[in-house]
Amino acid sequence: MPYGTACCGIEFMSVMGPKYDIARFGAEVVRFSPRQADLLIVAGTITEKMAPILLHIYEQMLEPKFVISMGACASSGGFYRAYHVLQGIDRIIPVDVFVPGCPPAPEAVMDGVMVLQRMIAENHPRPWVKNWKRPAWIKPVG
Amino acid sequence: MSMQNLENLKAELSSFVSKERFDSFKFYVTPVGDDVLEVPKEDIVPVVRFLRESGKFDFLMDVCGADYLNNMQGRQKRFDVVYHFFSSRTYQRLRVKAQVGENERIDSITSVWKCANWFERETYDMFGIEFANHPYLTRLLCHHEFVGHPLRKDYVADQQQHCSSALPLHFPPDPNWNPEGRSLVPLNIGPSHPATHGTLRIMAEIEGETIARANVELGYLHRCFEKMAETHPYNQVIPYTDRLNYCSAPMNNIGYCKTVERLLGVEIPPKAQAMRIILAELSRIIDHFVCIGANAVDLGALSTFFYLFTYREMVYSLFEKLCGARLTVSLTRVGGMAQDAPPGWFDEVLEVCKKIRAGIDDLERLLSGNKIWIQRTQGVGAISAEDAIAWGYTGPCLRAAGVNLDLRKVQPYYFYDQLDFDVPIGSTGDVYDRYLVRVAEMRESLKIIEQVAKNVPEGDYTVRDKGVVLPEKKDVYGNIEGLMNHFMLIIKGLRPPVGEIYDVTEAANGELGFYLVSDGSGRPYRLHVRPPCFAIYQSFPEQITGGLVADVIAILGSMNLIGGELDR
Repeated sequence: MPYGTACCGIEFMSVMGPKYDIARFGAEVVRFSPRQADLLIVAGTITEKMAPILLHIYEQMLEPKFVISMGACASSGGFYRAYHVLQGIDRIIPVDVFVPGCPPAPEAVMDGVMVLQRMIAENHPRPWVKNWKRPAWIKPVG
Repeated sequence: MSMQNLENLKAELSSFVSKERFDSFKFYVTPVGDDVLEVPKEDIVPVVRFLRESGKFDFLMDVCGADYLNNMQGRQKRFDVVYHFFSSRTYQRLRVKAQVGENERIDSITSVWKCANWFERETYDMFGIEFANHPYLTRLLCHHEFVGHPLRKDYVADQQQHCSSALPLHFPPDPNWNPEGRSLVPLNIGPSHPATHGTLRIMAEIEGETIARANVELGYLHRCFEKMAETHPYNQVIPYTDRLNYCSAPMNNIGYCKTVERLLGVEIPPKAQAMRIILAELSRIIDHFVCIGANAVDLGALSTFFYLFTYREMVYSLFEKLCGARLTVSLTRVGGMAQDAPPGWFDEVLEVCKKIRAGIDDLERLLSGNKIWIQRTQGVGAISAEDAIAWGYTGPCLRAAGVNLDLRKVQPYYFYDQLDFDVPIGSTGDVYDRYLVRVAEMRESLKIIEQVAKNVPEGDYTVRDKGVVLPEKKDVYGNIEGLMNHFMLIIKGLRPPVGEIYDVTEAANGELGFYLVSDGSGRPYRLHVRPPCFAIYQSFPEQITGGLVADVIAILGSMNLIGGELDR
């Protein structure tokens, strides 16, 4: 499920576009509903305002679920060391693959998806998911 | 010219307000040529009403604040509220400033100009300046649990504050709203939604398929650009400007560098101007590609999106040859370009133009005569010219409503006045007109690129002013003067004179303005961006009320809202 917020979202559109076609690697269908997706690609800056919503979307996904953090802003806040930017989505959800870049080249994104596919095929242990605790400051929706 | 207009304004205002109030007004022209009028805050509403009703100015372009906590000499009060006006008849601009102290309130001008609403909310959010009689003064960009006002000088830039939840559906208070006996269904669209282009949230109450009332929530991509600009030297702000309108990144770079260069009093060489014009027009084309492509995808026309992205990739390759980056290029520096074009680049530009021309013909074949497209977009979201001007629309959305205003013709910069191109104008302002205006603009941009790329002037790609531009690497490593020059520029930064400026460019969405206040140091004291889609989006709740839910998506796509620019 592409969670595109900013410039990385546009670059993700390029990855899905005809030149760098990620459908060749098994990621053809883009579902915009978390209930139907198994991979969440967070592409773009996540602000403090958006953080509870991202967590809500992640919790709505069904197991098994994977997360790719695309871009510098999603991985660590990017060069926005600022009052409204979440310094990395790994503060709220467990991330399997970080793809660095601002924005990452489409080849890098495809490499990230392929790394994840290899991790799944080899049953790579995922301690970050096992040890994940829901961030305390975000209220559960209910 | 400016002095004459200021004299006229002085004469007219003196007969309008009483003598003792008029004596406290200050009229002056800044060294860069901007007209400024300073008024005490109590007089702001009568003066603004006079400016509108006398027909002198019809556009309220921008309202912003500035905090002079560290810089109080010559001032009585801490904050400045700055208003920028523009006249589409005489093409004059005016800046009106009012000083407001801490814990003081200033009257809101929403009763005179409805588009001041969000600008004042943002100023309240960022500075804490309260606007009396504002219909709905709440935070706009920061989240609702934010404590403090971030653009104040005593707020540390990286002091993060978490948010625990999203706000439930909320609407501004309306005395005429009567939900009695109506079966209303609340509907929340976004911010995580395929059609809201990232981070927009639309909250509506619908009756059947019609929208009874609507509200929007912004700020989901508020990345604190203006605060980052205050903490970085001038050249380091350029990557942040890339990420404003990220679909046409070079245009933001050009707008920002042009502002700083005008404040510095530096004129860039003709080759740099030619390169900037080519990059601006290429960015305009790719921005319109994304806008039309995304608009079409939301309405179900998937093929257009893929076709247009092929051409977008060709332009990306051009950018990559120039600087290495595809999307967030930082192609300009203050004083010119970052580096020279590689040999043969201009010929490749001409090749790509030929292909894009074929691509636009394909696009027209796919969409312009398409029955489904016409039925979904004609008559949807129509806006009259007076309404568009009142809301502060600029760019293709304004031109689609029939107003002939293009800054490249009206206030030409670089050598746009020597180029031959037309400005397409629509008639009804609906989504179909906006689409046609964008397609026609792309063709005009291709004309401009071809004219410039065929006659590129010779010369340097940047000014060689030691106080502004870094020396070439061979000088830095070769001789001691180059090394010292490089060192001083990196440590101290380039320093414009003390002053302020508001400069504009015609970006893909409209008037992209930068209001820059310099205190003589190496970092901007205050940098405010006037985003074109902010004013356009402000009219969105009114545009969709009374319409169908399906039209919401069509109108949203046609406004070309880019989150980075909207929320900064």
